[in-house]
Parts: sequence; structure tokens; C-alpha cells
Amino acid sequence: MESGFSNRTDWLAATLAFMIWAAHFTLAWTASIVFPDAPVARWIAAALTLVSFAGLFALWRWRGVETAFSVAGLGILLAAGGVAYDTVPALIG
Amino acid sequence: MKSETGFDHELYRLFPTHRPRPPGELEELEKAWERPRGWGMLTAVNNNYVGFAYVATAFLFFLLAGVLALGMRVQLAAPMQEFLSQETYNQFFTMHGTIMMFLFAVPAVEALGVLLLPQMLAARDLPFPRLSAYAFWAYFVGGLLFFASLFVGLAPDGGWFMYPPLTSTAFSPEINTDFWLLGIGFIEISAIAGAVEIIVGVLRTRAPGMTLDRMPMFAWAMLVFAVMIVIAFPSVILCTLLLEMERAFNWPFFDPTRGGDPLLWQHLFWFFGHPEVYIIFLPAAGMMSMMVATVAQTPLVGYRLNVLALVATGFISFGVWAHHMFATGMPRVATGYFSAASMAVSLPAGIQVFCWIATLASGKIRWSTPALFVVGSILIFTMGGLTGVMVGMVPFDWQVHDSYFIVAHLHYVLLGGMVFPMFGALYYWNGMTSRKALSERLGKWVFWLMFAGLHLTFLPMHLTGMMGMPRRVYTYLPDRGFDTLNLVSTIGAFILALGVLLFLVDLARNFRFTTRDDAGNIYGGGTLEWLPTGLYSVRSIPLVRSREPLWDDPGLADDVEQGRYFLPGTATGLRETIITSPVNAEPQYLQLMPGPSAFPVGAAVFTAFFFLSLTVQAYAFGVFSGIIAAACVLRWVWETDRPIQQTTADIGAGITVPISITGPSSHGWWALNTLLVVMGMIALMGVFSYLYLYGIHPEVWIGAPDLLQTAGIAALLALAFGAAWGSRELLAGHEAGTFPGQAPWMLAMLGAALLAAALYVDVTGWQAAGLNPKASGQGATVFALLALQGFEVVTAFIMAAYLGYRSGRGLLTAPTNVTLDVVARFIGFVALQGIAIALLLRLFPG
Amino acid sequence: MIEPLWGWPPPVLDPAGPYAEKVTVLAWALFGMGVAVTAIVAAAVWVAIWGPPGLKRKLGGEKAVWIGGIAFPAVVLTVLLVWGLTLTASLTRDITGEEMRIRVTGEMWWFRVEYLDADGSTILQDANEIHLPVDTPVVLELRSADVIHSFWVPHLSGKKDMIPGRTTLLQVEAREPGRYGGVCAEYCGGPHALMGFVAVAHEADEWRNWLEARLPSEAATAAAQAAGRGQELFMDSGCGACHRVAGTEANGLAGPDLTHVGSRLTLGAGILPNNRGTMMGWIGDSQSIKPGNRMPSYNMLSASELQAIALWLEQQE
Repeated sequence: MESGFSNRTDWLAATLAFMIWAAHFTLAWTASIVFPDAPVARWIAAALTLVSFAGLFALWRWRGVETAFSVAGLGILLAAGGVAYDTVPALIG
Repeated sequence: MKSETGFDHELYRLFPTHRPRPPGELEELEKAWERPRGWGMLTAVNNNYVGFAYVATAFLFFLLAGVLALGMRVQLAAPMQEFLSQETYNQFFTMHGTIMMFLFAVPAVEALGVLLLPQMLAARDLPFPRLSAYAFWAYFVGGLLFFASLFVGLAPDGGWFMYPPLTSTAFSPEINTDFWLLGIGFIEISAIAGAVEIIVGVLRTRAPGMTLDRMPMFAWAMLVFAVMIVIAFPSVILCTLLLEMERAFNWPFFDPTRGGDPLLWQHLFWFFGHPEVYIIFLPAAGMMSMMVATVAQTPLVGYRLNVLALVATGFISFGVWAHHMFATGMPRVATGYFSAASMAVSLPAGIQVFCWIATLASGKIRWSTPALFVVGSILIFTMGGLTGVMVGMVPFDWQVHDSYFIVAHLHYVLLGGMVFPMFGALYYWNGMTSRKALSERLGKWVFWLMFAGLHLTFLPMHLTGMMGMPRRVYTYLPDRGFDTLNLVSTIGAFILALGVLLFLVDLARNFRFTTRDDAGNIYGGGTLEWLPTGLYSVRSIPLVRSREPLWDDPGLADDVEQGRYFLPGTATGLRETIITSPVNAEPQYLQLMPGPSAFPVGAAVFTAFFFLSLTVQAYAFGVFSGIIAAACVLRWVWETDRPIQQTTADIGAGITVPISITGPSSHGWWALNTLLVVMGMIALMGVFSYLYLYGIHPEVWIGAPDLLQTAGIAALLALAFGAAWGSRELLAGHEAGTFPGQAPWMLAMLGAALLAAALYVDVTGWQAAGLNPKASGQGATVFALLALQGFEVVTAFIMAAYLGYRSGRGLLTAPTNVTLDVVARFIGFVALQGIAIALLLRLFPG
Repeated sequence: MIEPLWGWPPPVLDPAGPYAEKVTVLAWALFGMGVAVTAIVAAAVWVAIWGPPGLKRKLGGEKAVWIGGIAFPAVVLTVLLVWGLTLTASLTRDITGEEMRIRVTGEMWWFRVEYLDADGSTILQDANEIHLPVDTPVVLELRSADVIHSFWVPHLSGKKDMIPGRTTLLQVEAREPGRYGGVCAEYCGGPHALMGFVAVAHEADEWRNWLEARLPSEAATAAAQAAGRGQELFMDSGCGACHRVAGTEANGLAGPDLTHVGSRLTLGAGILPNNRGTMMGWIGDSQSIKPGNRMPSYNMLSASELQAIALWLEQQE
């Protein structure tokens, strides 16, 4: 039906990807207020990012995503972008 | 396509049918959907009526809040004026914001959903029509009474966001604040009721063949909207209740001298408050997507990209709330997370804007009033979104936060992202509810006056803010240099208002409400709401094969009208619609729908009275209203879940489906699931409050009662869960048509009793340990959670008693029964919630 | 150097110190970005509606959405995010403890000011005015006595909220001597609109002289200036119950400290110029100037009584 966007509409993959983002955000934020201005909060955030990327990658493989130009593919990429953005504050400053 | 439910897609080939329809079929359909006469119109539940009244009421609040804004702008046109006194102005700006956000913006998009969604999905109505009626009437009565507080000088004056300690009893001793807290409380109930409807409606009542991938963009937007409401609104419900408890009972949630924290309110409020603005924006964006396709006369470009953008916005908007709190001194990394998410959330909005531009480019625009509003909205919303990116940058926000720059930003995004699309929508979909079209000539004037007025009013405010004018000020000094800018803004506001006035003139001259001979598809849209309809919605429910069925099948309208598709009449003589599967919309069963009833109206009116009585401290009348409201609700649900003779129905071409089912596939089950999520979120926010206050003021924490007691509570709750589960099992053991005995309902009642016992042990345990809800943040939050549990236990008792009464009247059908399912699952949930809360509060911090 | 406290150019774009300067640069960049993107979007809309068929075709596909809606914003947003977070970090550098400290407490509807020494004890009390030496990092300890207020002097830095139960910190530094206007920027009820203050930056030695001129009056043995009819009326009217004037029996802490009120630039928390007429008017009827403020109108005093009190307060420099 679309040119460009692959035919499979995998809303489950996209939703799960954003849930991974949500978990990453919630846990990283919680760490930053439980350990305010302490380095351990940054380490936790970094670890969470690695786990999240691993989870998103695993999701990609599990749902058999073929290309970024699909619902699942772009969804996972957007979620990964969100996770990446949310990691920058732990790295800078 | 793979079948989702086992339904054979070959059966779709039977449509459209060719045999002429039997005589009297249409008349029977009309009779089932007949409207009530005279005063009975107040009891109507059909979305054509409820939706229209809902939209009209929301628009009325828009006008009322707009008039307040004009008063404010007159006051600010020059420095040190006394057009409005300080007190009056403070009430005006609080009410302007509160009414626009709570009584206009969310209800307006919800109302458009009620009015348009069933027709867009070719369903005969929303799945719970009386719930919509209840939601509307509660909103109507409560909203007007709330607005009336202005006339007696009792309107709230703490800002729409009502920060404590300003709104605590010490600094706001009058009942103005309580008007807001209790007045807005029932609006939240109304919004959640609507959200339940929309989730179940969008996922389960679509026309057969309308897969998720073929759903109108507005339906997608409303689905995300409704899920967001379910997650976000509980937060404001909880913080509203907490502040009211602080004011009424002196429980120190927000009082730092006793272990509370003013920032707790801000976290809870903005966790709701930011998603709230996306809740407002997304449905309007959905409408934009549909209108832009029609005005460009081509399908929307990037449909799936657009849906992904909606979903992404829905999720990420929950991660930005503390960008309203950048200046409160949060730890740096924490602050940074919210800035990062605020950057991220603008990306999906950009996707949507470019989908719209690409659609315009791939088609050929046909100019009309809706087209003007569509193009104008794109520009205004883009500007507002860009100032949003600017204030997402922490250092810049530190300068412009709480200044008129923010006033400029928020009005650009709300007007560009919601109000302008809404006006476009009113012109665009007017043909569905009016005999005459609105005037294109006047419409152009309306647009240009509003567009010019908007920029004249709000563009200078970016500068005013950077010159140092703070927000929420009833006047300013003449030496600040922003006199002229304010005057220009005031002139602009009146030009904007003139545009709105002209729209009212257009309405008065041309709008004539109708449900049958409407003006029709003036702009040439391609989606199902443009099929010919009566009070019963469409004559027959079409098989959907594409996203713009009317463009792809020119004969569709005629086929539908002649009854050549699904459900061309009424299979049982009652109101019905087809329940379909969530992903592929395969027919699953026939839902019987209720007709007009006075009880939702009564329940709504007395719910509103209940909340407002508490506000003015008329407790006796409050108790009375509460009892009447509860009685109306019970009498209303009494008519539901009735056994019927007919067990299957022919929904067209000989395809038969069951009539009403029970269990996880039923729409009632899904509605309860949604409600349980709401309840769970309220509890979760309560737990967050507990943990947050512990983090800020651990010094006021005392030890928990001993472990044995905790184990006892958990055991009692586990037994309660078991009793609830058991009641369903017992019922399942009986064959259909046999009387299941007293055991099932009595087990449910036992479950409720066990819940109460566990709560009693819990409360007395804490009291014995020395916890005092007035003395510390710990006491306040623990007892607040216990109170929440208590409220749910009382509800469980009422439900179990109701179940017992139904059982006594022989209405407890075996082997499965919807009412029992609801009661048992509710009790089970409360038991599990109770265990989680009891364990957490008692084991932590240990 | 006398310059107006407010006006043109807009204070957010007219920095007088390093903290504000960096934000001004960011503000201009953001403004430029905003104008540029608005122009791009407007141009795209124009092309989409009226453009030549070739361009329209390019714009009319999903590729345009990927480029315009995903790739381009991602780049811009990433650059901005990194810049913003880096700048945030530099504006909130870890506090060494060597900086000068001033405690400002938000009250309904004025600012209590206390200059602190290295141990954190108060050496000088004042109200609604802050004096700093230039080129010296200053840490403001912000508190609140009642509801949430916010401290904002746009020429010098962004704002920081004053929250009851907490102390928040704001780092400021002035680069040039001058007078800079400030306001409360969090709605605190009532006359929030009329709650302001002045920040005055001096050359370093000028500031030292300013401080040293005031310290002796803080000493326990000091006496107030020019005792006479004005002081008598002040005491008899009960002003001392709310206002402190060092060296007299007046030691109320509920209202602004008046020990140095004569040398202040403004009255009523940044809203009136300080002269005998405004002082008389404020004491006589502050409620009609700033309705709802915590000081009652002393409209039972006669004009000559008000004049005497104002004269006396004028001398309290």
C-alpha cells in the first residue's frame, strides 16, 4: 500500500520498543534523584543504556525486522534515538 | 491476510449482497433507534445527540474562558490600571487557564470523538452509550456550577496549576481552592469515562475489514489520546485528593515542616500536566491528517509514519514533565534527562508536519475554509513547536520560564495545534450535523481575523517576556518598557475575538441541527463518516477494503443505504452493533446496546452535586447526593447483563455470530481492564509519593509494625483473592439455565469482607506503631493509601451486595456471567493491590 | 553610571555578566534557528501548494518526510541538546565554597537579604536590594519564608525558585557596574505583580566601602541616626514590631529591615523610587499602592507626622 514502507505492520514491536525506552527513562531518572549529583547515577544510566540497546537489538532480531523502512524498524530506531538522547545528560557535565 | 480469530475471510466475498431487502427491515431499525420525545430528549444516549451537546458545551466554555481573557487583556492594556481589581484578576487568570484546559480543550476533542468516531468506524454508536451520557451530564452540570463560582467571588485564584503552599490552608483559607480541587475532580471522572469508551470503541467496534492499518487517522489519534488519559489523569486525581486531604484533615503532604514537600505536588501535577497538552494536541493532529487529505484531494502521505509519530509522541511525552520545573534546583543530571526527552518529543511532531506538507504537495489543494485553517495551523503550530524546542534548552528556560515568553509559546502551540484545527473541523464536519452548510464567505473572514489576531496578540509576547515581564501579573509598572507591546497584544486579542464572533454569526445564520437531512460531504472526504446516515448511523455496516473507502468505491454509499452489507436491520429488535477483533476487525459477536435512560442523567447530576456540596461544606446534602448518585448508578446497571432468548444473530449474508459473550473477549472485560489500569495508576502515584517523601525527609520516618502482622494482612488479602477467584469457578461449575445457588455471590461477599478485615488490621497496626497522619509525610502518605484502599473496599461491598440482589432475582446466569466477572475481578484486583501496598509500605525502608 | 533598570534592549539579550552572556549567545542562536526553520517550513508549504510540478513531486513523497521530519530535525536537535547540556553544566559549576554568599529569602511580597561571612553568619541585613562587587562569583542562597517565589534578575542570570523547606543556590556574577532590575517570577498570590528588587554592581573597592560604611551600625553599641520626633513617632506607631532599625528598640523581623532604608533605590519591593514623598505615601496608604501587602495603611497619621517619620527614615543610610 505504501511505497517505501514495508508491508508488515508490526505495532507490537514498535510498542515494545517504546516500553524499553520508558523503562530506561524511569530507572535512569530514579537513580539520578536517589543519588543526586553522585557519579554512581551516571554509571547506572550508562549501564541501563547498554541494556536497553541490547534489548532493542534483541527485539529487532526476534521480530525478524528486515529494514529500517518499516513500522517495527523505524519504531525501534526512534526508541533507540530516545534512549541515546536520554543518555547524553549522564555523559555531559 | 491471516485470520486473527479464525473467521473465514472468504465470507467477505458475499458482500455486497444482491437480494432485495425484506420489507419492514428498515422501519424496524428506525424504530429501535427512535429518539425520545419532548423532555425525554434529556435521556438520549445516541452519540448523535450526546456528541453534539458535548461539542456545543465545550465550545460554550471556550467562549466563556475567552471572555475572561478579554477582560484580562483590557486590564493589561496599560500599566497600573484598575479595570479589574487584583483579586478579580487573579481569579480571572486562574479560571481562564483552568476552564480552557479542563473544561474546553480535553472535553472538546473527546466530544468530537463521541460525535465522529462511531460514524468513522461505521459503528452504530459507542460501546457504552449511557456512560457517554453520564460523562456529558456530569461535565455539563459540574462545569457550569464551577464557572458560577466567579459570580460569587469564590473562584479559585491560585493559578490553573494550584501550587502549594500557596494553595494550602495557611495561605488560601477560603473555599476558592476547594472549588478547584473538588470541582475539577469530577471532570477527571468524565474524562476517564470517555477514555474507556474510546479505547473499547476504537479497538472493538470498527467495521469488518477495517484493519488497524486502514483506520482513519483520527481513530488512531483518539486511541493514543485515550490511553494517555488512562495513564496521566490518575496522577492529577491523586494530587488533587492529597491537597484536599491536606486542607480538610491537615495531612502534611506538601508541608516541609512536617516531612512533606511542595515539589511533590509539582511532580504529580506535571506528570499529568505535560501529557495533558499532548492529549489535547494529538486528536487535533488526527483531524488535521484527515482534513489535509481531503483538501489536497489525495490520500495522506506517510500514513504509517504518521501513526508511528502519534505512538512515539504518546510515549515520550511522559518523560518530559519536569521541564516545567527546571528552575526548582533539581540535580543536574535529572534536569538534563527532561531536557533530552523534550528535544526527542519534538521529532515525531516534525514527522506529522512533514506528512501534511507532503500530502499537500502530492495533491492539488482545493481552497475552502477548512483548507485555510489547515494551512494556517501548520504555520502556527510550527512556530509554537520551535519556541518549545527553545525552552527545552535549560539555560534559555532559566531566563524565560514564568515570563510572557512562555505565554506566547503555549498559546501558539495550543491555538495552532488545537483551536485552529478545531475551527477547521467545525467547518469541515459541519455537514454531518447541520441541514445547511456554513458560509464560505464568512469563513474566510473568520480565518483571517483569527489568524491576524493571533499573531498580533502573541507574537509581541515573546519580546515582552524577554524584557522581563513575568506571568500571572494583574498589572505592571510604567518604567518597564512594555506598555506598547501590551497594548498591541490587547488589540490583537480583540481582533481574534472578532473572528470568533463572526463565527458565531455564521453559526446563527446557517447552522441547523439535524440527524437525517444533513448538508453532507461538502468537501469531498473519503472516509466512512460521509456515508448516508440516520439515527441508527449507517443502514448497513460496510466491509472496508481501503483507507478511503468512498474514494475507492463510488458505489459504496448506495450499497450501504440499500442494506447490501452487514447488519442491514436489527437482528433482535433492539439497538445493536458488531463487535470486531482488535487488529483485523473480524466480526466476533453482536453487542446489544442500551437505549435512552434517565438514570445516567440522575447519577451525573447528583455526582456533580456531591462534589460541589463537599466544596461548600454542606456535608449533609453531600451525603444525600452521594447516595442518590450511587443509587442511580445501580439502577442504571440493573438493566444491563440480562439473559436473552436469542443466542445467535445473522449479521448479513447468512453469517451468524453469538449475541453478547462473556470472558476476556467481551467489550465489558476490556472496559474493566481499562478501569483497573486507572486504579492501579492512582495507587502507583500514591506509592511514588510515599517513596519520594522518604527520599526528601527520611528523618520523620518511623519503623513499621512487625512482620507477623504484615504476613497476616497478606494472608487475609490472599484469601480475599481466592474467594473472588472461587466465586467464578463455582459459577462455572453449573450448567447453563440452572440456578447456581447462593455460593457464588456469597463467596464474593466473603471476599469483600476479607478485604475489609485486612484493611482493619492494617490501619490499627499503623496506629499502634504510632503513625499519625497529621504528624508526618510518612503518616500522611500511608493513610492516604489506606484511604484509597478503603474507598475501593467500600465499593467492593456495594458491588457484592448488588451481586447478591441480582442472584436473588435469578439474574446470575451460569456458567459465566458478566456482572459476577466484574465484581470478582474487581475484588481480586483490590486484593492484589492491597498486598503490594502493604508489603511495600511495611518492608521499606525496613 | 546611571542606567535604567529595565527597558531596551531586552534584559535577556543585554547581559551584564558571564552567566547571562552565554545564555544570550544561545538565545540568539535559538532565535536564528527558529526563524530559519519557520522559513523552511513556510517555503515548503508554499512549494507544496503553488510550486512547480517537479519540486512538488519531490516534496510529495515519503522521502520528504524522512528528510524533513526525521533526519534534519535529528541533526539540529542533537546539536542543540549537546550545547544546552554543556552550557547548563558550566552555569552550575560545582561550588568551591570560596565564593561570596548572600542569602535571599522570598517573603510575601518582598525579598529579605542577608550578607553572610565565610562561616555562614549574617553580617548585614537588608531588603529588596543586593549589592555585589564586579568580577566576583557570588552564590545566592535562596529560601522562602512562606510560599514558592522565584528570583530573577535577567541582566545577570536565569532564575531560580525559592521553595519553602529547601535552600536553592544561584550563581551570579556582574561584569560591569550598574543597576539591574529583578522580579519575583513565581506566582505567589496577591500582589505578586508588584514584587521586585534591584541588584547593584560596584567596582570592587567601591563595594568594600559600601559594606564597611554599613557594618558599624550593625554593632550592638551603635545608635540610630538623628533620633528625634521621627524616631519617637516610629516607635509610638508600633512600627518596631515588624521592622528592625539597628541601634533602636525596633527589632521586628516580620517586615523589611529599615536600618539602611534611606540609601535604598526603591521602596515597596522595587516598585517606587525612594524619596520623601513616596515614603510618606507608602506609610500612609500602602494598601492602595500594593493592595494586599502585609503592611497596613497608616492613614491615621497626619501629614506632618508622616513627614517626620519619612525624614527620620531618610537619615537611616
